[in-house]
Amino acid sequence: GTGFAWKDGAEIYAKICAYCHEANVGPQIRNRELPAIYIRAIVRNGSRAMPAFRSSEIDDESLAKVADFISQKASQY
Amino acid sequence: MASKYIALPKGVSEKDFEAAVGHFRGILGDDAVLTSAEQLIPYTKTMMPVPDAEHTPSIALLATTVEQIQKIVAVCNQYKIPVWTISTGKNLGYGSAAPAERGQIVLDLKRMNRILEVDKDLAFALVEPGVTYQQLYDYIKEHKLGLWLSMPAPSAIAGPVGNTLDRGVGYTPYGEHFLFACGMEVVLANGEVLRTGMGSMPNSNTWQVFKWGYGPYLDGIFTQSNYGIVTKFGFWLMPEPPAFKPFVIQYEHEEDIVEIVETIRPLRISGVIPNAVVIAHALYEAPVKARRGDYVSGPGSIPDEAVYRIMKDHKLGIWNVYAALYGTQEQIDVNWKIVTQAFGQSGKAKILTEQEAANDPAFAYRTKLMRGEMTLTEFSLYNWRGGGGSMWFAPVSQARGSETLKQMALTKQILAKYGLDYSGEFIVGMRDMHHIVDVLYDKTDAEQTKAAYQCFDELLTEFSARGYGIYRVNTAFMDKVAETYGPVQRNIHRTLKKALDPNGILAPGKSGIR
Repeated sequence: GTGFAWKDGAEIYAKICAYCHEANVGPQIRNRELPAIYIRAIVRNGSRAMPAFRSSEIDDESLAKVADFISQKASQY
Repeated sequence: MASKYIALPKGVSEKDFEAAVGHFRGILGDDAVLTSAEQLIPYTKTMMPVPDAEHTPSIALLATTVEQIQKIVAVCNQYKIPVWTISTGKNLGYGSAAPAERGQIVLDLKRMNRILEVDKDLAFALVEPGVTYQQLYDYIKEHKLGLWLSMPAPSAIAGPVGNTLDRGVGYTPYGEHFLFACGMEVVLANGEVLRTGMGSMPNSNTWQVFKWGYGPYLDGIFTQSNYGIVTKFGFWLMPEPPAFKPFVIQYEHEEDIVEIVETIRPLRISGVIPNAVVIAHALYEAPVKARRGDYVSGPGSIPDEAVYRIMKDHKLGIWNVYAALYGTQEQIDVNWKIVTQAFGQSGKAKILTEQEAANDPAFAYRTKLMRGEMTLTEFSLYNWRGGGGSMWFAPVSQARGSETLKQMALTKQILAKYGLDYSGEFIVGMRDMHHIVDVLYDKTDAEQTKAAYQCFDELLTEFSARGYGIYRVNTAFMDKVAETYGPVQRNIHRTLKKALDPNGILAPGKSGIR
């Protein structure tokens, strides 16, 4: 069989980001229209308490999708 | 001319390294050979109080097959290139995804992530290194297999292979992960592929059901070590019980840990309480509910008086015992009576169940951990001080009340000397405790970072002087901990290393082994 691949931005958000960002661990990031470029930089670099995520975990294309999902106004979750 | 690499492996010329990278590109393709600073930055973030430069990799390789790994190992032997292997790479507080030594290449197996088998009847899984607990959790749900996972608090983003290879723990009755491991596949430094236990036998169907095989049992030498690259890993899963009853027992005084441990040990050893119970200090649970800044400002460790105010404001004990019962409702009712009688005797314990505590955020995440559900809520710990500084100080203790109090007091005293707080918990085995203390500091503060380093060093020195050993440690302190276990063990480790990896290419420095 083939390995796991992310479906879309909403799935990545639900299965990685939301565990902190919807649980008072990290700040709220939805519905703030954060720029995608900023989201990408934070994910790759990590930021203080937040761990970094490698391209092997969230590939560049998937990161673009999740950044797009988060940056949208009123993203559905 | 400046190097095109952000670091080079120790003792390897740029010319040789360039040649090796050419081979790696041939094996993996250009996309799976990461060389730029931008691609490698996520590998350099650690929570340790040392400069990131000390743990910067030269490149990272994203392999997905055993054959690729065999070829990579051949190139590493040819050019004497050290390779640091990670699976999911979420070893936060123990070095994260960064190599032990600057310049090592990271072999990142995150993309090697197939769930090869989950057997519903025999209740086992066989997986590749990149599989996460979330991935496995979803698979089990989707296929309605009725099996529960056991995982550490980083659950969703961590995975069973990497965690078990560092001998990590979880919170269910299957919480001692390596105890429930059954069968490995390992690429050795010479490129051969070893399957341990029954896996060595052609046509065997018992690789994941009988651990020992025949002759010396080898699996242990591939945990916390650098004798091979694990590419497949089998382990047992707990059948979902018909009923589950989580509870928390709170105590008001630090000395009460003596009574707690003396009460809990017979219940654990006899199996009345079957899971890896946690005895969490107020400051371990507080970050889920409270902010340090609301109670204390300025330098120094938090005073006891502030801790008592946090307890009062946020309904915490100074010790919070999280445990659970599993089985049929009848089994749970019988054991609940035994538990409440044992803890009720002195009148000091406050016993809470889901009825009273379901909406409490600390109780809620502990409940998830004790039933193998994904939650990252415990990461709140990293907000206590903030700033990204965290090291796990994890001495082993007897499950004896007087010992736990002694270790707790000593830890707290040394932390206070450096202005840091005691954020600790005991994870209860049957006879042992993993005494887990999060040494939290602000890594953006140079003074505090220096203090944290010295503090950790002193904790190791003082504990080993009293015969207390560490079960697992971050990459900056592996040599120091290896020393505490004495020269005979270190020599054996070195002898095995020379025999299995004569060129020293596999993760030199892991557990102090070179």
